[in-house]
Amino acid sequence: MNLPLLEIKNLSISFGNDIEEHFAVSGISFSIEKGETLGVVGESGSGKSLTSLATIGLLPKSAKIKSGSILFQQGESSIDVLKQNENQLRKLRGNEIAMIFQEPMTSLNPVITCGEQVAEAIRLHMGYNKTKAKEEAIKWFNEVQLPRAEQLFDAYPHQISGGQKQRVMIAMAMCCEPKLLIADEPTTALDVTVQKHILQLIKSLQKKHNMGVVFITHDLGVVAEIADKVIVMQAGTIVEQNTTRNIFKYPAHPYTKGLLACRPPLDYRLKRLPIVQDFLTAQNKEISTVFNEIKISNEERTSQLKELYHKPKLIEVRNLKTYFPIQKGLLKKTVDHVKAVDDISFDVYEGETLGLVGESGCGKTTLGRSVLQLIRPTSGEVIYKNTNLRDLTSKELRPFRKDLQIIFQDPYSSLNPRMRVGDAIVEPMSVHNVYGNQKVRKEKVIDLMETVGLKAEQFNRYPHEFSGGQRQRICIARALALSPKFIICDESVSALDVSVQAQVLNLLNDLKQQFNFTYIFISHDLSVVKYMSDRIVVMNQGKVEEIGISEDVYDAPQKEYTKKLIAAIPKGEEIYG
Amino acid sequence: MLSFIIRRLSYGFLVLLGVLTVVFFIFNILPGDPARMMLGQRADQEAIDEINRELGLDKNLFAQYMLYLNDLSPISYHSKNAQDASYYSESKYGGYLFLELENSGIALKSPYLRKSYQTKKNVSSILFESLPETAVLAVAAILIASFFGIFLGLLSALQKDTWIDRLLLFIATSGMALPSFFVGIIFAWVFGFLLSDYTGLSMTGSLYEVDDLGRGEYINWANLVLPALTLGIRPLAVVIQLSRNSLLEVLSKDYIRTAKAKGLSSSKLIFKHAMQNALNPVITAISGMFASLMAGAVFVEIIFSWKGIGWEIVNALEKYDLPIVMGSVLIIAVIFVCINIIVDILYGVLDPRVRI
Amino acid sequence: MKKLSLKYILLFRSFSFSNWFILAILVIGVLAPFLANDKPIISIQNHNISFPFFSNEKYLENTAAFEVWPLIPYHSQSLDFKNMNSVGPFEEQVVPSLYYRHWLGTDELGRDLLAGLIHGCHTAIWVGFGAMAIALIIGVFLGGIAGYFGDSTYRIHKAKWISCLAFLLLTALFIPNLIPWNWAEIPFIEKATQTILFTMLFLFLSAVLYFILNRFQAYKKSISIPVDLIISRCIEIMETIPLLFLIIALSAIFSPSYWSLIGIIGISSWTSIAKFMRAEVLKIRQKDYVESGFALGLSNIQIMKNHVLPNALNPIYINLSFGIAAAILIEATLSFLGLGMGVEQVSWGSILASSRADYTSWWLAVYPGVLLFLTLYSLNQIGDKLSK
Repeated sequence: MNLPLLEIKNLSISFGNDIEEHFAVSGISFSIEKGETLGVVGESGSGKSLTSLATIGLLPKSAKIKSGSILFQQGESSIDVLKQNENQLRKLRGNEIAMIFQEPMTSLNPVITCGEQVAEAIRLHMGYNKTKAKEEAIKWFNEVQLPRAEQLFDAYPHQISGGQKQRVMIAMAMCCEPKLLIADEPTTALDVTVQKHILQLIKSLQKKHNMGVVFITHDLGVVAEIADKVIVMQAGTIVEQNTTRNIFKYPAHPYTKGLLACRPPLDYRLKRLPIVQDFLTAQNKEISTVFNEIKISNEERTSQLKELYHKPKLIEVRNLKTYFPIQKGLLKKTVDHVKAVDDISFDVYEGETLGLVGESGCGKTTLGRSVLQLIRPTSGEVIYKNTNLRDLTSKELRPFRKDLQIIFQDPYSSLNPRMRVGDAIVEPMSVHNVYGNQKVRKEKVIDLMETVGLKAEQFNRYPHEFSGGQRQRICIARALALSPKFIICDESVSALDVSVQAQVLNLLNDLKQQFNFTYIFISHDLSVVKYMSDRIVVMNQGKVEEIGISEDVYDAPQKEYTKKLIAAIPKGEEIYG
Repeated sequence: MLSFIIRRLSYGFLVLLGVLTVVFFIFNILPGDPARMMLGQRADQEAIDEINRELGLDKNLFAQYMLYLNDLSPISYHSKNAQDASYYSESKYGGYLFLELENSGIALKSPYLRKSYQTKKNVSSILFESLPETAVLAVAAILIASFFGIFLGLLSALQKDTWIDRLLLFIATSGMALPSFFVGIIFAWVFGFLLSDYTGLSMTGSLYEVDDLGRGEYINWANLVLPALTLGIRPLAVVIQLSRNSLLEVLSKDYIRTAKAKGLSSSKLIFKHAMQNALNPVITAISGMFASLMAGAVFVEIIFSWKGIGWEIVNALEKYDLPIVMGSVLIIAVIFVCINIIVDILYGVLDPRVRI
Repeated sequence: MKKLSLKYILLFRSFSFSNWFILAILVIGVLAPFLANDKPIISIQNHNISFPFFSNEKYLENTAAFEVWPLIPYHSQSLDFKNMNSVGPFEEQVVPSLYYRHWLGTDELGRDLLAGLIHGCHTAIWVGFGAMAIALIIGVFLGGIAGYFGDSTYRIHKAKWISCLAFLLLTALFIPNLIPWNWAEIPFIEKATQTILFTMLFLFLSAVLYFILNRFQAYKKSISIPVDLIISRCIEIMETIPLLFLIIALSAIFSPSYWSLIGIIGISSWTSIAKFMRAEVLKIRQKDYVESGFALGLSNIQIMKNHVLPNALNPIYINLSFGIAAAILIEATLSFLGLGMGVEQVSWGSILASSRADYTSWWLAVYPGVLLFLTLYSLNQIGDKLSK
């Protein structure tokens, strides 16, 4: 009989005590063969990470296994991981089953050299001596394509980049040639271009060593690139499992359809994004029919753009520079500058959505804040209503703040935890003394809350009682409180799950229709930016690489960097191509 | 590395200058008449004026401050006029004049902390005698605290939520709340009095004792036991709690999970991966405590008649002997600054992220 | 506010020993004069109701028809000549009735130990809470502005800055001239008037300087003041001075009263609160809701008041109970060394000190020691629980 490499049967994991039990994983079963890559897809809280931790016996102490078995093939028979004692598990971990974690920044021990952390595992499982283990570790460093492997062996984690750290993690996981590799969101914290290389690396290593790989991610695009088989998880259960091709071509479950459809498409323009609910209410609807209903034709688009760019300019940015000094020595002498924003000029037209895209550290966030004078630029002009905002003192700026707003990335830190959400939205109104008295303001706020999809009775709640998506709605309502003309969305949907992201993006577009806003939409995700924007600015290392109509930039990129960025977006060419 | 040490030293020097300034002004705007303290109430005005001139006390506060700085500085300016407060005499300052001008000179000397109002002895020589006593006491207490504290903290963290952990935590929280003078009295009474036949310890005594039988001055290590234990209890409690919490925090970090996923044994996990990360806050605390122990030894010294700096300072205060008080405050501040510099360098050894 | 108050309620609902103990110490401390006193609270004498307790006159015993006595018929200072030289709690005592018995014994002068402990509670809570209140105000203020403004955000005009500096420099150079080394001998009023007049003169001069400088374009430029740097260095200097020595020295020289002792302890223990506050505000300063406050056009004061303070103070409150414990310990320490408040104010530390004269009277060491220990232990426990 041919046993699968790993077989999970009816696994249930719960949190809490006897009185109040909460099932994080309930009765899931799946299996994986040797040399196969299994993609596990689900949004946050779907139980995908817990399942993987259970596989190597590293569940947090508060989690309890309620039922099921995890059978791992060993020779002719298989063993149940859940029934192993700590000693037996230790022999399994790293040696037979290895794991790569999400956060390369915190997953490496900061006080031990990268090489030693890999060599340690080799010594432990292979029984090599120190010199042999070092040789082996360097061999693996070369295998994961780390540059200057010999030097990196003695480097500490803080001295190397995020992508390199993840390569060290992969080397550490691979060095004992495990039969099964579990990768828990290994590329989520990385830039797309780096992500592409890491995915290629995992793929090639898997082929070379004929491992089984469990690849956990929230990103369907990534799954399409790497997996042979896909499991879709939702709230602790498996809603659908099939081969990757079938999942993408013929999704059966409405949730899967919703997930597939709510990612902003790259090839055509939609009026609005479909959301998961669309498919739950109309069970048998196909994705293509939904898309056809809401597609914008090329002719429509052209006329839209024509109209848009006949309008006057709202904001002009001229030669904007924001430098941060690097100070050294006893007297804090400035030796150099970090040029976060380096000589950037562009215009924003009234009613336009200008997309700003770039990888982490390219200066897009600093640019957004410099435009609003939240960070004072070093030089240049930001002209709004014939006034250069850079010349104003913070007191003189205050009346302008009414017109210019920003929505931040992290919905958890952008609301004061000690302030009721209603009060938080009232606050800017009272500061600028609009709408007369407090009672009118409150009515106005309740109006606003309903506009962004919240309920009036939530006025007196505290932020911790809301989910991430709801919090982002509160932030939007707060930004709208002063009825601004211009809003900067700084990675406003990046922290949200795809299905929630689609809802918030739709909300932003609806509001734009309703109130005639102008947006600058900042994101690292080119597909989201392309969906939202009329024009795109591609930024790299503080400078503008390219600026143009979003379709033009995507279809015919002029610069090498833009091409690289577009090529790195995981699309699953093998399936669609 | 060298530039880091130089930077750190000059920085420490600036802090010391600040301390010096604060201490000087606090003690010199206080009411009180040193000249009368020295000569007694019935002294004649002439003698008092003489003393005031010698000490520079007839000058305004700012000039007095400058004079004090000049006295403390290793390179100092001196006048050749015997009437001036800054008049250089070998017997007063030590060192030597290396640059002589017409009416003045520049001298190279060790910092002059002035003389005791009471005994007329040099403050530096008084401190030189009492400082080692306090230092030995503080070092012994710190050694007890760090050795047992880290060990017990580790034990407590590993046995989390068992009765051992709870017992150790109870001991630690109790130790935090025990005033050292209370412990001192109880220890002295129980071990130095009730049980002294078994322990062979006495209730009071210094490190250096003079033997009646003509052996002269000798070191009595047995006298160290009770004071060091008394002084060590609070730091011990702090170190237990701190190392426990710090270790538990480190054990919940992602990189520990990585190490576990590697299949490491728990002893490797703790001693190689967790300890080095967990020790940083403990070292900060221990170093911070060491300096405060030098000062905090005061009750222990009083209770056990241990003739250290604290004992000296309380005695000096009773007689309003300000130079001794100022001198001891400064010397403790110097020690504090030095320890901080050493700890900063130690950090670099322990944690590569702050290595320079 | 909500979270914290809820936490406090939960704390007292859990009926733990530490909470009840501290509550008891608080009640005893506040009611100390009513609990242990050598005068009756109410006395009816020839149909006149009087409250001898509130009058300073000496009360003549056994003349009244009806009187209500406190629980313990001794004041901490009342001397019982029949039970002098430290009578133990279990030894035979010369007392008229069981009511007058010294339950915990007496000290060398025949003062009742229980009365002393009760009045000691009074001292401990006043000094503990008072000193902490002062430290809290200074620490929160300095730590708050250091963390909030940092090194580069507090900007003022060059002209203003220079004239302020000029004023400070003038006064700093001049004031010491006025303070002689022996201020007893110089007419105080004369010097005080001089000081005030000269300060006003300097103020005027620097104002003139400001207006002159303000005419030049170069001085209108605003420069940033490294607020954080200045305050952090002050904290560092304060921490480098061995505070215990300083407190001992100050209280030895001042032979302090109640209030000055509270002041001395408070002023010397603000640094830890300031450091805590600074770190907390720095953390909050990074939060997006502060930045969104700026984006919405809130002023510094509005952001401080609505967003920074409510979030920063929570951990500070938690640390308060540790701070109170520390202040009580310092007070006891000073009294133990005989440097605390005068003899008329009893403290646990001073009772403990009296035990050193005679090791056989163990009750003088054990009772106040245990009481002090339990108080500190309970305060630490409450702090621990609040921080969880």
